[in-house]
Amino acid sequence: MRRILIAGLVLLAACGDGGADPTIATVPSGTGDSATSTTAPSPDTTGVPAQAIPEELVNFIDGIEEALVGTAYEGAALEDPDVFLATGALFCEQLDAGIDADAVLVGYVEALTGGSVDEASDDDLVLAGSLLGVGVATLCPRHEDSISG
Amino acid sequence: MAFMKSLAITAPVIVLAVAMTVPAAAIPDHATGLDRAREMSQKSFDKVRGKSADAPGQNKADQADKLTGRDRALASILKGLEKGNGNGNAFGRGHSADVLGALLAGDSPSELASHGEKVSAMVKAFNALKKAEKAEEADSDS
Repeated sequence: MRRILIAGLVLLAACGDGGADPTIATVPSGTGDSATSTTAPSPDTTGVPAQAIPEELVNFIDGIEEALVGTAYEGAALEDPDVFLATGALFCEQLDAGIDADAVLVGYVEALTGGSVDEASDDDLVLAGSLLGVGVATLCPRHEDSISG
Repeated sequence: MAFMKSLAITAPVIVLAVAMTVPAAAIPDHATGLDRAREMSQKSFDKVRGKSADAPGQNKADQADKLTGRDRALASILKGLEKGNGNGNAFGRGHSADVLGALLAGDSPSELASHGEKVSAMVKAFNALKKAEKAEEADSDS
C-alpha cells in the first residue's frame, strides 16, 4: 500500500514542480455527462503521461465509480479522486493494523453519518462497502480474505 | 383414495409454503446496515476481480466499455493533477504533494478542498478516523 501511495506522491510531486501542464485530450466536464463525453487521455502529455499513473489507482477509481452508479455519490470519485483514494488507503491501513473488515465498515459509516450503521442511508452503506471491496481488490489485495472469507 | 384426499389437502399447503420461502431466499434481506455494507463490499470486490479475470475473453463491445470506464478514471486523476493551485482541488498543481500528504497524514484537507456536501462529509470522516488512529498510536506509545 505504501508503495502505491509513495508512487502517487512522487507522481504528484513531479507534477507539482510547475512547468508544463499535463494535457488531456478530453476530460470529464462534470458529474452528469462525464460517462459519455470522455475520451482517452492523450498519451502525448507534456507533464504527466497517462502511462505514469499507477494502474492500481486507475482501477480503484474506475471500480468505485462503477459501484456508485445510481447513488448520490455517482460521479464524485471522478470529480474528487483524491478523497476517495485517501479513504481507500486508510481502509487498507486499518486492515494492516489488524482491524477487521466489519469494524472498518462500521467505524467509517459512523464517522461519515454521525449516527449508527443501522440508521445510515443505503447510499452511505453502498459507499462504505464499495470503498472497502474495491480498495481491497485494487490497493491491498493481501487482505482478500477479509472480504471473501 | 385416502392418499389422493390427503394429497389434495397438503399440496396447496406445500405450494404456498414454497411460494413464501423462495422469494425470501432469492432477495437478500438486509437485517442490518452492516449486512448491506458487507454485501456491497463483496459485490464490488467480486466485480473488480471479475473484470481482471474476464478481460482476455471479453468481446469487443465489453472491451470498449471497459476502456471507457478506465479512461474516465484515468482522465479524472489527470484532470486533478492538471488543476491549478487555489481552486480547491487537493491535487492542485504546485502543492499537490503537500495536500495529498496532508490528507494521508490526517491533517484537515477541508481548508484546501471545496467539495460537494457528500464529499465534504467524506473528508470529515477521513479526518475523524485519522485523528482516532493517531490518538490510538499515541496511547500505545505511552
